[in-house]
Amino acid sequence: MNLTKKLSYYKKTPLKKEMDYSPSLLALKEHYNGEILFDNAPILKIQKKHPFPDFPNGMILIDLISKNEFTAPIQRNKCVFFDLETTGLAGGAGTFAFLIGFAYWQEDTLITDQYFLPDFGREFELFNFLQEWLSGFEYLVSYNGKSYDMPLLKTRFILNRLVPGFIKTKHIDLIHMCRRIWKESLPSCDLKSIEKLLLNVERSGDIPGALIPQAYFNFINTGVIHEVLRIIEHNRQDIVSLALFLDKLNHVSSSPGNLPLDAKAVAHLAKTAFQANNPSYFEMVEASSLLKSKITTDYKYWKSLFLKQSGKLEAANVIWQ
Amino acid sequence: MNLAQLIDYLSRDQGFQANLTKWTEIPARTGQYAPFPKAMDERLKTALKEKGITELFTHQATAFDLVDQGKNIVAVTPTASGKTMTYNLPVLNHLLSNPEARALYLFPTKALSQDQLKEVQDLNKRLKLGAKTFTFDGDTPADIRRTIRAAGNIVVTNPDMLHQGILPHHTLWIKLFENLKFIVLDELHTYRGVFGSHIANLIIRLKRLCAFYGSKPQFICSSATIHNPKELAEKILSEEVEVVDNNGAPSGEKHFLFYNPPVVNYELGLRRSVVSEVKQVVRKLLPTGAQMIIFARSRTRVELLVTYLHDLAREIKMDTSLIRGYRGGYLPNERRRIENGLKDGSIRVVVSTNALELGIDIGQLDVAIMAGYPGSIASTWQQAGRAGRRQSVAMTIMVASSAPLDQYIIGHPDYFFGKNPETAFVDRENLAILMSHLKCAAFELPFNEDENFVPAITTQLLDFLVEERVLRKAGEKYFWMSEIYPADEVSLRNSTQENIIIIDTSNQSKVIGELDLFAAQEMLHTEAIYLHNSKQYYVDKLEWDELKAYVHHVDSDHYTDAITKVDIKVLDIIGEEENPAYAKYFADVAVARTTTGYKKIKFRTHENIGFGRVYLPEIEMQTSALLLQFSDTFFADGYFKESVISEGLKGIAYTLRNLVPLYVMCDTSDIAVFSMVRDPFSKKPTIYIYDRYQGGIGLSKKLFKRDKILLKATLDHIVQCPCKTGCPSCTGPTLEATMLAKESAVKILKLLDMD
Repeated sequence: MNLTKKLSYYKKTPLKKEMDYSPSLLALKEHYNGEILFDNAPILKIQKKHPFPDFPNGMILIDLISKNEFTAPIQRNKCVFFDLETTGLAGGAGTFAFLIGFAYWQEDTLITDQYFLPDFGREFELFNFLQEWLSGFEYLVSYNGKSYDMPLLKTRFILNRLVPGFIKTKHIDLIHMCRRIWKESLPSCDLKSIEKLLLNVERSGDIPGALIPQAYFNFINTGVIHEVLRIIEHNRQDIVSLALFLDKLNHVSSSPGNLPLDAKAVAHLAKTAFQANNPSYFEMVEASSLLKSKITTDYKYWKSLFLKQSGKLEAANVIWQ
Repeated sequence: MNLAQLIDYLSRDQGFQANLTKWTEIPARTGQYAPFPKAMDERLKTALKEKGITELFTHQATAFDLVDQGKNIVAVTPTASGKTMTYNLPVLNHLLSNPEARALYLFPTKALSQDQLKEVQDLNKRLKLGAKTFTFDGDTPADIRRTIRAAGNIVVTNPDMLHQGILPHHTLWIKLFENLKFIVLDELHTYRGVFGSHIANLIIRLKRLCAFYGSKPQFICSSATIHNPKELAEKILSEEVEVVDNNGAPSGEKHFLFYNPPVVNYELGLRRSVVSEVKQVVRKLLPTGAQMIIFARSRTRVELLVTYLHDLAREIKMDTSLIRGYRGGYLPNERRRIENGLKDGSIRVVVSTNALELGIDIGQLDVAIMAGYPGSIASTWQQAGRAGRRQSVAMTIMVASSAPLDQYIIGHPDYFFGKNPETAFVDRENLAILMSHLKCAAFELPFNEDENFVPAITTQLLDFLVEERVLRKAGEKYFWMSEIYPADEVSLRNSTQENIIIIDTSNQSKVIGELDLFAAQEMLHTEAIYLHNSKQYYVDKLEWDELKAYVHHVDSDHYTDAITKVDIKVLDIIGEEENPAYAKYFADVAVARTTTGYKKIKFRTHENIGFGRVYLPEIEMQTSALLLQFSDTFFADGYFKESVISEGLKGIAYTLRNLVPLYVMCDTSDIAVFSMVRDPFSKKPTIYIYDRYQGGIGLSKKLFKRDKILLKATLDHIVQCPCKTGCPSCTGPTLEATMLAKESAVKILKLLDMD
């Protein structure tokens, strides 16, 4: 046998049989018809396609609501939406992300890729893959990811001795935008409240976030998958909602009348328009009979400041006549 | 009258002299210098010359050379000897050629870390080095934190911040960890006992993370003079360390006076109070215009002394604002004002707790007075070091209290001025402390199977945590598997011990003090007469669960003596040694104590005039102990009736406990000593000395080898005490009946034949 042939045998490490995986991982794979990746440190990939014919592909404009942080229109299929499920909320190097969910658009179909790590010590190959995969997107979109998910993921990369290149990717954190509008309209700007408001979705049987770490530990200790199923559903709902939010927020710059805005939200957007020096918002409000009815003194205040800022002192004065 | 004239005057003042046990004159010493080391960068030499420094003190040069050779060092030098240069010079020298390098400075307290940057910043400016130096502590604003993490060349912080704020978030500090070249540990001698045990573990965590990021920092430490600086440093760092002690700093002439207030009550062994004696001494000193610092042992003492001295100032028509107090609890701005006032001379007298003992920059003063022995020789020298300008004469006066330790020191000046016998000890193996840091370490970075956090037992401990489901073993690693942020669960400062707060209901419910649970059972049980600052209080109620004791002031003709039941079970003998007189054991023990009742004892006649019951829960702890077990033949003499042995051993135990800090640096509250005339297992008379800390903290382990020297000091002290039948300054308050405690204790100790 020549060396080339020997090497080719050498390269062919025997295929892992499914028997070698833990029964709980196999059960999860069965349940979701998922795929087990990386033989040496197996993890589960769950892919699902969600057709949304009401959300046709297009450009997203969030110049006003991002206060001009993103002025150019955003190609929706260049966005990847992500959310982590972790073993603790305190942060720090010992917090582990055991479920990493991504969503991205292909035309009007939203695809979710969720990576579930059934144990510790299985990050390296996944991260290596993600590093490459994420470079295909231009925008990362999250809900509170700037302060939580991103630093945590970065920490996990460093602990695996990988350079987290994706931190340089543009990051759209929707929590700040939602707060800008609905801060006073909702008791809390958490994902669930926004979801109910924008998408009219009411989750049933959702696992409360605070129970997630212990649920994962229970899975590790017992292999019982019941609660993990709830976490995976929870995470998927999060990233799907996230993707749809961005589409909804697109209305801010084009047709605010399509958003569920109360008088406080209309005024808050006026403040944002003043800060972003964006005239079209005021025009759109006053063109829509629905929105016009929600004009308050606060709204007028911000409008007058906006006019003053644009040098239209007379017009600003008229508001208060 | 200036200070020199006053010294002359005092030396002829008979009344003053009568209270002195020692007047030592420490002659001035000239500086010993060394040229700039060869390895020193020319730019640094030039910058130093600009500051008027043309050569180094010998110890600074030695430190520089050793660090240059890659050695870890501990510099042992007195106060005001240019200590900061021993670490700043090597650090800046390295930064000149490695501008990306990082150094971490650790100071034991937050107050200290604020003060240390001035010198570095000055040299930094002269060198045009652009090295960035920052203090990082709880007060650092969030936006500056980011800059410090990314760009701070020298980061000054304290152990608590390192423990909770930096290590658990090490991924935010990549730049620091990757480039960490030096770790500076100042005031190393303060890292002893429980605190030291925490620090030793903390350093292992720090080194572990450095290894992960590929750096291997060198340690530069400084310490006050103690018996075993090398041992302490090596224990804390788990590395070899070289000692630098060739102090070359000059100092002026110094007078060191030991002042023992006169006895006012022989029976109770009471001397005139420290506070009023200090007032008398200050009265003599004020007219000289000398600038003074007075160290008091507690915050209340500070306030009391300030009040007294303000009265004094008004008597002599002096502006009271020249006399200030200084202690923890003052706001930072106010402290800065006082520090500056001392430097520019606008404050003449400051009364302080040991807060000013450590390196806060207040310049050098003329006189240091200690109102009570500071508790250790090392502290005493540090406090004394506050007085002494290089050019002029300075004076230190130590005024002793009636406490046994004070009385021992004041009676044995040679002991004090000889080679310091105090050993600082650190026990890395206290299981509770070790475990908390092991958890923190696992949170910070998964453990590899073959890692060595603590010698020999790491894997066993990790496997235990796996069983407890705190860690998860996957592959060859141990991962943190808990929602808890472990650094929040452990404080470096507090032991697990809780304290009972004492509330005086006869004085607007003021808190007058606190006591640990053990002492509280004996001294603060309901219906006890509690003595505090030589006042009597009646304890109305001890609220055990709420940790409060309500007392009111009384004038009583009797005091109470608690009856405490102590059960001590030897769990495991770890070391033993047979002597002719007694067998010595070092053992793991379980101690359970309860106060079950008390006796009422009349003052003066010592009659037992009553009895009461007390119902308190048992306190339990597992700890380590030193046992001295007397042989059957030892008490052959007919004099030794069982009650006589019992009295004698009790007296020895009382003295022992108070003298332990002479040899092993600790507080008397860290240790407990008690005796049994018939140990329940061996049936032999036994003295137990155990660590009053769950899991043991290494005290009795250290004492295992120092029993003879300790017993000898005990005998010396009891014999020298002027009382007749024992007093609180030697064998303890004399009780009813035999009055034989002192006599019997001396007989026993003499029989031991310790030479």
